[in-house]
Amino acid sequence: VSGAGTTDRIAARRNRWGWAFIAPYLTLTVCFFIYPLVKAVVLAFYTTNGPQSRVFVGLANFTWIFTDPAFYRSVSNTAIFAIFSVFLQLPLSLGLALLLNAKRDRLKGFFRLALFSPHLVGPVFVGIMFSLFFAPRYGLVNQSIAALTGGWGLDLNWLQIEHLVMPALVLTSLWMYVGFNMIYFLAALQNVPADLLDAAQVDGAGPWQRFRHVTMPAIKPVMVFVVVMSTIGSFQLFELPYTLLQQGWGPNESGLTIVGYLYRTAFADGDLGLGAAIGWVLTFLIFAISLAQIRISRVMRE
Amino acid sequence: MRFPLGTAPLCLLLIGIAAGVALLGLRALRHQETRRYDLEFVTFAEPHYQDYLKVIKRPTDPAILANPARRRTFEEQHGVTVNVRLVDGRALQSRLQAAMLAGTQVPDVLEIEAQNMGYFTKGPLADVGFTDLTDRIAAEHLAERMVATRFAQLSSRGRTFALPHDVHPVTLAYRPSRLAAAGIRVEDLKTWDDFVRLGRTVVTDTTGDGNPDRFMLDLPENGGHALEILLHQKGGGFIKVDGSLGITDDHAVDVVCWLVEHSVAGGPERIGYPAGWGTAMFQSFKDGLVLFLWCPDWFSKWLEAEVGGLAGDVRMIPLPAWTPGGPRTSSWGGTGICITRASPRQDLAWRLVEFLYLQPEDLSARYANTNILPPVKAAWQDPVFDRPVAFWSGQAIGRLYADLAPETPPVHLTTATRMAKDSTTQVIGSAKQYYADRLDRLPRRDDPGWAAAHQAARQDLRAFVTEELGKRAILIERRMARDRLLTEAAR
Repeated sequence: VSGAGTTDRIAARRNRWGWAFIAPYLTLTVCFFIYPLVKAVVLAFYTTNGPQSRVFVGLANFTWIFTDPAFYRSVSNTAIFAIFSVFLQLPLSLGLALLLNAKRDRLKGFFRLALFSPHLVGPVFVGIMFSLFFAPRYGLVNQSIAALTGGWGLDLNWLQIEHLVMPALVLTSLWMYVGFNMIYFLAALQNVPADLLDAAQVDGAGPWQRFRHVTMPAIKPVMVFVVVMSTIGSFQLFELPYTLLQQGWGPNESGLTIVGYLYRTAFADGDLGLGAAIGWVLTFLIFAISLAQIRISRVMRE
Repeated sequence: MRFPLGTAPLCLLLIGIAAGVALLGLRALRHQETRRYDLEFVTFAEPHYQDYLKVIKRPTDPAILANPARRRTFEEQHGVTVNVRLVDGRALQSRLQAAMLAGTQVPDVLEIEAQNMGYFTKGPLADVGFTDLTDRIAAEHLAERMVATRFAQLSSRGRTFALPHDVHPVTLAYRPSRLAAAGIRVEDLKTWDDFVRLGRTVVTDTTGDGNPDRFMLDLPENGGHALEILLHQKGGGFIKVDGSLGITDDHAVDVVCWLVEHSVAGGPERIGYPAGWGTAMFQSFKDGLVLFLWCPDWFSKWLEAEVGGLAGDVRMIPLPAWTPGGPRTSSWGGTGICITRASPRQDLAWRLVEFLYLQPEDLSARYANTNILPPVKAAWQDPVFDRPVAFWSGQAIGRLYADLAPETPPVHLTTATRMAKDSTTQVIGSAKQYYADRLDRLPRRDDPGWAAAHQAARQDLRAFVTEELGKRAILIERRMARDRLLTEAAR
């Protein structure tokens, strides 16, 4: 009995030490994650401009969001951007990764760095730089178009014409993110077993068949990861349109994203309760889309 | 003695303790640092910062100290210390928002861009984080001593929370050589009707490449700064003096239609080109792509710096009036100085505000460095305002700005201003599309029915703009009603 008691005491002492060691982490998590999370839930049911004054409005913030045309505009812009991210950016990234993976020369490292480097400078820098590229008449983009078409397109105002804002945003993001996603694919491609590819070649499989039946299944987990992460990243898009469109959201809100809508509501208009509600809607939206993507990829695998 | 859980947990524990002690120590140091000063003053503008350092801080240079004729700095006059800090405008806005929301330390005195005042004066007046200066302003008769309209954008519901730093009257900058080549005399540009009539003759494809490459005026694609300049000049505004929405008023409809008709959508009526911002805008001006640029006082200094090579071939004129004899200027932007309510030294803070903003001799010296016209009328008597400026072809631009200053319109700001402005620019975008389509359906210009059809298209444009602005106004008013909830609940 006394032996069991001693063991219990040692276990209890160890537990106390365990709690002591995770206490700083727990404290920080409670203070900076759990508490704000709970506070944000509460805030979503109030209209407030700070701690001094607030009025309980029940579900009015959520009702407002779902009747606000700007919300639908921001969702549709974000969705369009996400679709382009997945269907343009990822094939391009994969293509570049395949090219780099196949090439076995000394320039491989240089190209890898060159393609990845746009990501290193960050979206703020890229946004400002591309706002100059897209300038009418004097910008690099219009000068190039005019040179190719014999003068047409010199005055295209990419960032001020509603239908051109999204293409400008997508082009900018392509430049920035293609290299980043390429690195994931390159890492995955380098892990495709060479003996499987050799065996397929011996069995008479051509390059496309090898890619379709060997490479693709091998890199599928990375592909799912990149698709999910790109979608989540697209739904969190903020700095790029904010800087590209010079702290606005484009004509007729054509560059307004969901996070932009949240930021504008909470920090430009000072409606913190509504901002919190938008944050929750965004959270559920991302959660639902990510879940759907994972389900779809599982069904496809099966 | 051995630590019972082993060396690694012991190291973790020691690192944790060391980090905690370091954090507490740093916090104490920072606390001491801020306590060392009697006042904390923050500005976001580099030129202001450099000037303020000179007049606030006690000089350390013995040569300066030895000069008996020099004016004593604020620190010397009051025997206090002031921490003058420069913080980027966006960072200042967001840090101030965060500090006021969290109730943490804020500066005693700060300069703020007027466009941000709407955010800080939202909700019940008792919640505003800035000191209400209305009574001090009345006691010192500042509304008479300064340009009274400049208090509007720093006020909410009849209470004023800042003193204006500037007037920012707007003129039009041009190159005399380009105007002469285009056959335009500035004396003929008295009203906007004159401006448009002559402007139509200017739009030309001088190189024959199929693209017009000469326009009368910089007109941003969806209104941009031209929208607010013209709207305020006309006597309108996004927000009215009583805080209600102004975008459905006739003034707003007139200005939107004017911008649409004279933009790229306007066909033969076009006089404007969206010159963009920064480098592109200055290049457009240099190349003569646009003959006139909007030129508030702060912009004039920027123009001097960016197109210095044009010195002697640049001048400015007052804005054409909407009606003969009407106001010849507007305003664009503005800064104010505030005292935070949390400041424990309200009187000392007010003395600093007075010291920086109300001393004519300092203000004229500051004008000489920045071209920014101070709102204190007494300062305009200084000869510096009559000094011919070589860049401006010998024109005394200070006197022109000072003469226009009393005509600068009031600008009223709330958190709804942003929504109202965005909505109006959205209407301009859709109206341009509508009008361009409408003009496409007109008969040929030489057709006898053209004039009547064109007039009908203009009327349709007006109806379209009125309807669209009305629709947007309903949404904004819903949002404004949410803001009113807070104010009403506080009563």
